[in-house]
Amino acid sequence: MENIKKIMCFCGSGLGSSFMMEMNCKKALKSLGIEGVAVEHTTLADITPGMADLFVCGEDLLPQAQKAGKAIGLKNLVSLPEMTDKLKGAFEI
Amino acid sequence: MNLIKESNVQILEGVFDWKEAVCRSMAPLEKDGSVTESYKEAIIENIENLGPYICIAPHVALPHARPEQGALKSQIAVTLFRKEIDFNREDAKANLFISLAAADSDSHLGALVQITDILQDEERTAKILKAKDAAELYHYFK
Repeated sequence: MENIKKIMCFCGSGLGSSFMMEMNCKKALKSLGIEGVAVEHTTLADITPGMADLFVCGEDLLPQAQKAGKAIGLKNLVSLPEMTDKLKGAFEI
Repeated sequence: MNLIKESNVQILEGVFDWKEAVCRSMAPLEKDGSVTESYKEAIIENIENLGPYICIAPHVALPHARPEQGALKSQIAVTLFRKEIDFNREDAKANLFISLAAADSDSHLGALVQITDILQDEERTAKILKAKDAAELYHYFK
């Protein structure tokens, strides 16, 4: 399993969709039984390489996320199945 | 939901391009003083720069910008467009616009938790998209 301790969800504004992703990410981690991972949300402008072990964003912003590190892009930002599935991939479980 | 007033819930029948749709969906919040007139311009500019980031789920858009871009009060308006709004990008289409004015970084979070729960309920979302009138639409967001 990949060693991910901090996940940063981000969107263009940092206070709408990024927060929805943060909530979903926490729900998905719980359902996967993964503990001890900090999840936060912020804006695209505040993303810096290395600030998190995994970045989560909408598909549109994935290229920017990948510049900062390991990242997953979501088609449907409120879909729990998609989040769970993509987190599984990132954690390699 | 405490940030949604019945007077800020509307159903629009006309055909609109995405910029018009953003403006129309923000009109109730402009009228009640929750956002300045420049707020919608900021959203349009953000979409032009970043892509249609407001399309958060199939059929659903969440138009919003930063507090400093013109949000004065935290408030949410709901607009259902009968004719689908096309953002001219694959997958980026929406009927339901949940327009968010966030005056700071936390007073709207409770409402977003509730909205996420609503949107994760596919049955309820299907009903919302078929709402007959504004009163029924409002009912789903109470």
